[in-house]
Amino acid sequence: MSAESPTLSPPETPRRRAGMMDRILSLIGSYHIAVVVFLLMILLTLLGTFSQKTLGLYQSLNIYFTSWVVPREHWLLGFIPLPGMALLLAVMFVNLLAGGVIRIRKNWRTVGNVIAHLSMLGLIAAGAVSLYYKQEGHMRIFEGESSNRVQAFQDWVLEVREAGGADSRIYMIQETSFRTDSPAETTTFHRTGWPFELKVSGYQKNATITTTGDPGVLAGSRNIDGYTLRPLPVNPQHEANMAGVFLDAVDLSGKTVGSTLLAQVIRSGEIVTRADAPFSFTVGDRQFSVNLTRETWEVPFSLKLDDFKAEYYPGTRKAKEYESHVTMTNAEGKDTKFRIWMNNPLRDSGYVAYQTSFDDQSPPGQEKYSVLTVVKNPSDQWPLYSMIVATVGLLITFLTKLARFIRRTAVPVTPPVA
Amino acid sequence: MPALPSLKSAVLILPGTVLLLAGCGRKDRVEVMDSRAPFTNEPAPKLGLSTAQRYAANDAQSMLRWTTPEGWNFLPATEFRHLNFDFGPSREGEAYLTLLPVNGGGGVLDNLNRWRKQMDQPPLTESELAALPTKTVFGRPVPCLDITGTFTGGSGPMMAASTPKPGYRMLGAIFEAPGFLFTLKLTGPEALVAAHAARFDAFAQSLGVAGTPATGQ
Repeated sequence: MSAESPTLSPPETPRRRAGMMDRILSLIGSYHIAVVVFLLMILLTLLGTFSQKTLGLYQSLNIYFTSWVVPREHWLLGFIPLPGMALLLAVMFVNLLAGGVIRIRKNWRTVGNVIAHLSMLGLIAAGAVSLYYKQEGHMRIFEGESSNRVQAFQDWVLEVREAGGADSRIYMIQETSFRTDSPAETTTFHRTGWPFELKVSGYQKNATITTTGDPGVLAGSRNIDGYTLRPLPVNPQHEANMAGVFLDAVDLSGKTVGSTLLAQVIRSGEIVTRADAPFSFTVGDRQFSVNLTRETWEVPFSLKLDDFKAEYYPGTRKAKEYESHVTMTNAEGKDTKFRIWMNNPLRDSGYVAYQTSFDDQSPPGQEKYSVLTVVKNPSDQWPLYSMIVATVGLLITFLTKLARFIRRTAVPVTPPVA
Repeated sequence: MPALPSLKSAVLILPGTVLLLAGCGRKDRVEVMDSRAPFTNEPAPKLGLSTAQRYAANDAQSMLRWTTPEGWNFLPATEFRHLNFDFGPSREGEAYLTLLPVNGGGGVLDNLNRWRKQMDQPPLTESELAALPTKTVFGRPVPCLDITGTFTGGSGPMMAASTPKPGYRMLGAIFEAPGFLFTLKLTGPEALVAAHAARFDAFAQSLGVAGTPATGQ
């Protein structure tokens, strides 16, 4: 390098850039990363499986299998952070793409491998789409009646609406936004156009409303007109838990315009949900209401339960066979009849509806009902397609190897002449 | 060519990412973005309801307005205690309101005499009932009991007798309203009841129909 040259390092060239790209791909597509990811996946699978005994299925799924990072209270030995399965799968996706698709030597011998790797990428992508875009809930239909509303199984939602305002939309605050580790934590919710903020505190995963003199109430519980929240043991079956919160509506000057508690009431052992009786407050001349309910949404079709039949094992209440006969009416008013029975869900318009529960023991005068789980999952069929692709890839790989083996054994090898 | 991290150090990327993501906490201030349109035929919510109306454990709580006296604990309702309280250092004082259907739980005199029996007192006659002192409840004069003696009643009007409790005092008021018989009762050790008698009166006077303004009594 001459003294006149201002350049201290060699100039970038296409070959040099290609070399660097290859090094990067080699790094992120390395077997080292793949092995570490696989080992961590095994560890998470073990931890997640064992935790189901105490935490239940839903909690275990959330903690280990759908999280990016395992929440701090579930770290290994209490202080070793753990990645969640979502993070591991994301790393695996990149690793597989770099190492198993882009960097892999491509010739007729590796075609099967590349196809099999692509199918694995499809499986991971299906999981990601399902995690973020799947909608799942249940629809309870009485015999002879129809419904187009689906209610979530798991999480609760705060619904905020204005009475008689220009904006008729109902705003939703998901439980994941106000779920806190400690009841002492407060989350503030705001929105442009709202003349108030909502401060949500005292979150309990499972609680009911009781009177302040109830011996089951925690010392120092907030008193709202003689009522307060009584925490209940958290049920491992997450859908059995009823969230409870305290809520303060505060106007933009910081003045509290209303305070309440939101949860469900248990009367004579029955849960009473007062969906029609929300907390309401006034700011200026505008009146708003807030309710805590299971998230509910409408689907673009209605299902009418024409008939429900169940057959039991002799002498038991264990269902042997059951089926719902429904009529689906789509947005254009077209009716289609379906029979939904064991392992045979209804599939139409991107939705899947399958039998979850039923009641055919209602006393005379009360109709039987069927509970259908309704799922909309854009990647519903992707695993099937991925497995077909994987089958093709592995078949190509095995047949190629078989052909090579046959060729080798058919032609005697002549030792080289010295 | 600048050195790239070794493969071993690349393996460290994963735990590094984990720690980075673990450091991301939950937000304590959130802008509300999700919304939905009202459903077809979705009923409009009932606005302006009180906490008791929304979370009432029974019809009495949803129908009534009241003020819980200071020092009284508002207990969960039971089948026969629709507004249920206790008080005192050991919560040995009890006060409750019961709504009984007219003709389903006897009349005013039947119930007053049942209470007198719990305090080991002879029954009253109609004329003695008419001569009882009154309190103002729901803006009307209501016959009242004030008996000191041995309490043998159980917990609740339909409950079995309990161990006799000497030195007890009972305050009570019963009146009929359209469709219902209201019974108000307070029992406890004599000294404790003496300290809470005025609060019992205040509680009785605070009773009103839910949704109507308090009279400021």
